[in-house]
Amino acid sequence: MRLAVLSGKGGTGKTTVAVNLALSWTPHRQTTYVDYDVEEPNGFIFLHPQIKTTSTVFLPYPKINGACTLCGKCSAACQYHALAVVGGQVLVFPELCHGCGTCGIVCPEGAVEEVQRPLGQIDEGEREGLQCLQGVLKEGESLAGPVIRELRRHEKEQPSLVEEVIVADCPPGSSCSVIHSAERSDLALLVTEPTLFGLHDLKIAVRLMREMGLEFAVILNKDDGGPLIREYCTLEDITLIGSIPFDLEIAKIYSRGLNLIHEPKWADLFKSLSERIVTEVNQRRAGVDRA
Amino acid sequence: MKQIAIISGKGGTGKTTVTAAFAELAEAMIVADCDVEAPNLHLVLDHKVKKETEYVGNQTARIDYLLCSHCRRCEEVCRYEAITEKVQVGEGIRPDEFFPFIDSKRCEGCAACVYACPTQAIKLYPEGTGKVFLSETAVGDFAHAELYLAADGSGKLVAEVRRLARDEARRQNKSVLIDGSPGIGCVVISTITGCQQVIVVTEPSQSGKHDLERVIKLTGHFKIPTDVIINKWDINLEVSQEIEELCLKLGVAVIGRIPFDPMVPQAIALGHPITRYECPAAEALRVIWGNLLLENEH
Amino acid sequence: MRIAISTGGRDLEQFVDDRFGRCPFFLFCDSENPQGTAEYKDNPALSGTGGAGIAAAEFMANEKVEVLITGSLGPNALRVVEAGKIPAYTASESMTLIEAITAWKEGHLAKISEAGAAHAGER
Repeated sequence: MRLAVLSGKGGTGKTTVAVNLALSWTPHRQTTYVDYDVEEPNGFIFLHPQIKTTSTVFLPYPKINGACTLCGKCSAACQYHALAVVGGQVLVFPELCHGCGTCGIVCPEGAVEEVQRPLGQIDEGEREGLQCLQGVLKEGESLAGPVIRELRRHEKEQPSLVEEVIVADCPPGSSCSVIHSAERSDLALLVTEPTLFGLHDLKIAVRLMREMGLEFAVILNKDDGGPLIREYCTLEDITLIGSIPFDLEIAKIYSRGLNLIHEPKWADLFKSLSERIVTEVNQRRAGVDRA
Repeated sequence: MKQIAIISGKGGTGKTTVTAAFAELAEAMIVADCDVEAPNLHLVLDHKVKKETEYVGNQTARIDYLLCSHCRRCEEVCRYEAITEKVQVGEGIRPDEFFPFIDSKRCEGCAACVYACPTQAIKLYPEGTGKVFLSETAVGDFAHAELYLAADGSGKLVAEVRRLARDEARRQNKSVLIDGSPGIGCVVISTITGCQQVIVVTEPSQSGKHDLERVIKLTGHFKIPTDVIINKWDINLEVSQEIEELCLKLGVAVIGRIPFDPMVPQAIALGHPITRYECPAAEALRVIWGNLLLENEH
Repeated sequence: MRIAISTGGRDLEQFVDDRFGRCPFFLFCDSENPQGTAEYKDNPALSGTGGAGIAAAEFMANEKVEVLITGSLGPNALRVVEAGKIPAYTASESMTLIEAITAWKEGHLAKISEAGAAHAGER
C-alpha cells in the first residue's frame, strides 16, 4: 500500500509521522520511505540511511548550432522567454527554460540541440531494512517538478499487496508538487495541529484531497486535548485516525534529530497507529470493491 | 522604497507570527502575504477587502477533435504526461484510431503539442490561477492571494501579489513587509526577488538547521542581505548554539532570539498579532524590531 | 537617435518608470525632435509570465532602439540589450521623460554597465 503524508501547513509534523510510521512497519513489512519535499528534505536527517546510489536529475535546455538562420521562431514559440534573437545571435537563458522541447519542434532548420544541466539529485539508501529515497533540488533552481517526477519513477512500482508499504513524505503547500507526490496512494494522512493556522490549512488540504478523489484521514499532532480539530472532523465526517499529544519532550527529541520510536511509550503509540492505518486501508479497499 | 521578505526554509518556524508582529510595530508599511498556497497572515490581521481581482496566469492546451488527424504526434512530444489516449467507442470510429485526451491538471501550457500538431488542431487557452486581494488593515494596506485549488503557477501568483504591494508602496511612499512560504523553489524565489533584505525565521532543531543552510545558499545566490531570527530558541540551547555558529560561518547575522511562549498560539487563536500582549515573545520581537529600525537607518 | 524610455504615462511630462520589464509603456522618439516624433507603445512583456526583462529587451531590439533610458536592468535584460548593442542609461523616477532626454543629451545620465536587482522567478 502507498501512504502519502501531507499537511498544507508547514511544520505540523509530516516528517515526524512519516519517519516513525516507516520505522514501525520496517520489522514486519517490506517498507520504503520516500521524501518528496525536494526543496527541503528532512527525512534522512532522522533516518541516516547508508546511501547506495546518487543520481543527478538533469533538465534539458537548448543549444543553437550553425544551421540557425535567425528566423526567430524559437523565441516566438517559447512560453517562458528563455530564448531571445538579438544582435545576430540567439541568446539562451537556461534558468528560465522548462525543458519542454517546443523550440526544437518549431525550428525549421534543425538548429536546436538539447543539452542537459543538473537540477538536483536522487539519493537511494537503506537503514536496517528500511529502503530510503529522497529527491533534492539544487539551491537556486526553481523547478521542483522534474525532480519529483524523476523520484516517482525511482519509487518501486507499487504492488497492490498491503504487505508492502511505501510511505511518501510530501511537501507543504497545495501545489502540483503536492499533487504529484500524493496521487495514486491508498490513503493520504493529513497531519495537522490544533491551531487556527493548522485548521485553516487543513481545510485547504481536505479540499485538495476531495478534488483529487484521494482517500484520506487526519492525524492530529501536538494534540492539546482541545476540540478545534476534532469538531471539524466530526462535522465533515472525516476520520481522525490518530493523535500525538503535545509534549515538550517530543519537541526536544525531534530537535535533536532523534526518532520517537526509540522511547517505549511513543513506540507503542506509533505501533497502534500503524495497525489502525492498515485496517483503515483494508476497510476502504473492501468498501471500494463492494461499490 | 524598501522590500523585506520573511522566509524560513523549514515550515512552521513562525514566519507569520513574526510578520504580523512587525506589521503591528511598524504601523506604516504595506504588508504582503506571499504564501499563496497556505496563506495565514489574514487570520491575524483584522482586514477588509477593498479590491479583488482574478489573476489569469496559466494556459492550458485544448484539442479541436474536428481537426484532429489521430496521428499521436501530440502524445509523443508532451513531456509532462498530460496527453493520454481517450478510449472512444462509437459508430464510424475505428478501434485503432487515437483520440488524445489532455489532462489540464498536468498540462503546463508549454505549447509543444500546439506546434507539433500537423493540422493545428490544438490551441492554448488562458486559465485562471487565483484571486488577488488588496485589503485595508489598521496597520496599513495588505496584499494577499488565494491560489485556485490544484492550480499551477503559484510563483506567478506571488509575482502578482508582489506587484500589487509594490504599486501601493510607491503610491503611498511606504516600504513593503512580505510574509513568505516554506521551501526554496519558485514560490520562494518569486517572493524574495528584488528585495533589499531577507529575514529567515528558524527553529533550534536539526531539520531547522539543515533547511536554514539551504535557504541561506538561496539568498546568497541572489545576493540579498540576510538576517536570522531563532524562534523558540530555548527548546534546545545546544542546537541554538549550533545555529549561531553556522550563521557566523556563513556570514549572516542572528538579529534576535524569541523564547518559546504559550501565549503565541493563544494570540493566534484570538486573531491578533502577539505584540498586542505583554509576554516574553512580544518583548523579544519589540527588541528585534527596534534593532532592525536602527540597522536600516544606516 | 531613436530613444526608448520606460514610462508609466503617455506624455512627455510623465515620469520615467524605473521597472524596465514591468513598466506599462515605452516612449519612442527621435532625440532631435522628441515632441514631434513621440509615440507610446504598450510593453508587450507585461502580459507575459516569466522573463519579462528578456521580452522587453527583445522588443527594444525589434524596435531598432539606439538609446535606452530606464531605472536599472536585471542580468538577463542587460545581456539582451548588450547583445543588441543598445547603450542603456539610468534615470530616476523623479525625472519627467523630457527631462530625461535633455539630461541624456547633456551627458548627465550614467551608463548602465552592471546588472541591477533582478526580478527573477516570476514564473
